[in-house]
Amino acid sequence: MDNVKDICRVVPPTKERRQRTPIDDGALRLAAENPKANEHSCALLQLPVDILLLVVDELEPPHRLAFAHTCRALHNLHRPVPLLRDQHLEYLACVARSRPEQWVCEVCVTFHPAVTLDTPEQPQLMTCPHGWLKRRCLAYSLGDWPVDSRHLKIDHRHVQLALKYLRLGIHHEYVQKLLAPHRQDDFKTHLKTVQQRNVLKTRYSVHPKAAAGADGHLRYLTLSVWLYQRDHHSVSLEAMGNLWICPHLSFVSRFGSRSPIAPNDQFGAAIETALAQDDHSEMRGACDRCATDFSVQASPDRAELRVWQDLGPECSPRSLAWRTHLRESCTTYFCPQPRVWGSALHHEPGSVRALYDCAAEDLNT
Amino acid sequence: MSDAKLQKILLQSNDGVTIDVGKSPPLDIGFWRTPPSLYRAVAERSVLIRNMLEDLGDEGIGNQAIPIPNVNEAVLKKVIEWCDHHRNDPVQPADEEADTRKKTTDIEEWDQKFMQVDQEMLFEVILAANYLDIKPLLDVGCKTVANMIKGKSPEEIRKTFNITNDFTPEEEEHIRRENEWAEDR
Repeated sequence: MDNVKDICRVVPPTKERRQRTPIDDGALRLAAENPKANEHSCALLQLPVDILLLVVDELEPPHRLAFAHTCRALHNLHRPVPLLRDQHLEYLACVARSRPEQWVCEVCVTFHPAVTLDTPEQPQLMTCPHGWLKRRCLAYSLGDWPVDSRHLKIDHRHVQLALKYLRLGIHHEYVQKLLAPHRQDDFKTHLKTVQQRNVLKTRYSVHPKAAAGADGHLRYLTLSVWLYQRDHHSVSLEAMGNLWICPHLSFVSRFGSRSPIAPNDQFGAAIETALAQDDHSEMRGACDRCATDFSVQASPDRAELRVWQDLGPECSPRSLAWRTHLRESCTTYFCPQPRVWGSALHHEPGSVRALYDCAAEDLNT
Repeated sequence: MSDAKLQKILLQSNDGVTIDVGKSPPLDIGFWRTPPSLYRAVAERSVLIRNMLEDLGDEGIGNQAIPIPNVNEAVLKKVIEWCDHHRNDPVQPADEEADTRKKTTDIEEWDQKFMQVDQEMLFEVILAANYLDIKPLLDVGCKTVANMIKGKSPEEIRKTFNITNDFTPEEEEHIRRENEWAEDR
């Protein structure tokens, strides 16, 4: 087998048209000497080595490695390169697609067993031995989850397992738990930086859903609804307190603040506009740095904030589709203001909402 | 434009069928037919054919069909369809090709649809593009195969391409250990 490897190494990648050489033919013949050879069953392996190398050149290193692990002939074609941490996680995410009972841990860069008790409502039951202690991993130690993590902690492994089990059609009960809606009455309107008691009645609910994206791959979507109703006060931006709907969009209360507050972003501005309108029509918008769409309907009696988020397909925990929903992706020690810095994943405004609305119900029941 | 430029170009596939580059089905839609002046532009997407035409000269070819011994009729028509669609694309000089070759697996929409064929045809088109020396088509073919691999597990890749897993359990265990993450790497 070393011969094959050596032969493959001396065959330069084709950048120009090449005739098949005796070396190429020799390489293929040697690869096919294995008793379980693929020569008759697999058309791919009938391609000349130089064309296979061109295909390999089009692949990123993690996908090259997965390709090389399919059979001996392709393993012998593989020119190993050391993978970076994120690349290794990408490779593991590929492998995990065919390992139903395991999930990829970004802390340990390995697989852990999946347990059906581990849900967004009870995430403490995850099987990583380091998860809650190892500060090295920001995602686990700083309480950094998408959606409103005060009430529900949807983690990357929940997304991955839900999509994997839906694709494979197994563990239906667990999938139901991973996609279960959640409701929380009387959530706190003013976050801890501003000590202020609620003056409105509040209710939060989240409704996860799986839907097939344009590429046919399943994606994990959520619809979060924050509802504010008149209680001691009528509904106003001040009474609503503050809230981050994603790492980049928020509105900020002016109550009790002694320091100047940055002007509200487009989300806060949408609420102000909605409150000022007499017809209570719906204001729509989208984050330009992560896959988040929102709508606002508001009156002095009631405000409803609806937020649709696309947490991505089956992918690595370091993929942008997931990471852009975490504050760690855009906050550094030097730049605590996360609205304009860090990783970004652009999407067509309204596309997440449209996908959520079109999601086939039979996928989620 | 000289008369020679308006000459038809005939290709003969390995199964003996003669194809007029200007009359292949994709170009023959309704009343529209590719003008003869474009025949050459279509055929010359292939560096092999271009060199042949240059070497022989227009008189040398006459009305004879150019034999393409490695490509059958169906594949040759498919390749001509691609060449016709891309006949106005700029031709890249050979030395710049390596640098400008995109490292992404993005494929333009028309090419994606063009490549929606069974695997046998896909590989035949790739082989024909390699033989006829049509680098952009070869690139599109390789990217299409790469996209079929991308993001899949080894088991899924095997299933997609009907690859038999011929590793022994010992070899699989060795590969697994070899690819464990080491923090100090």
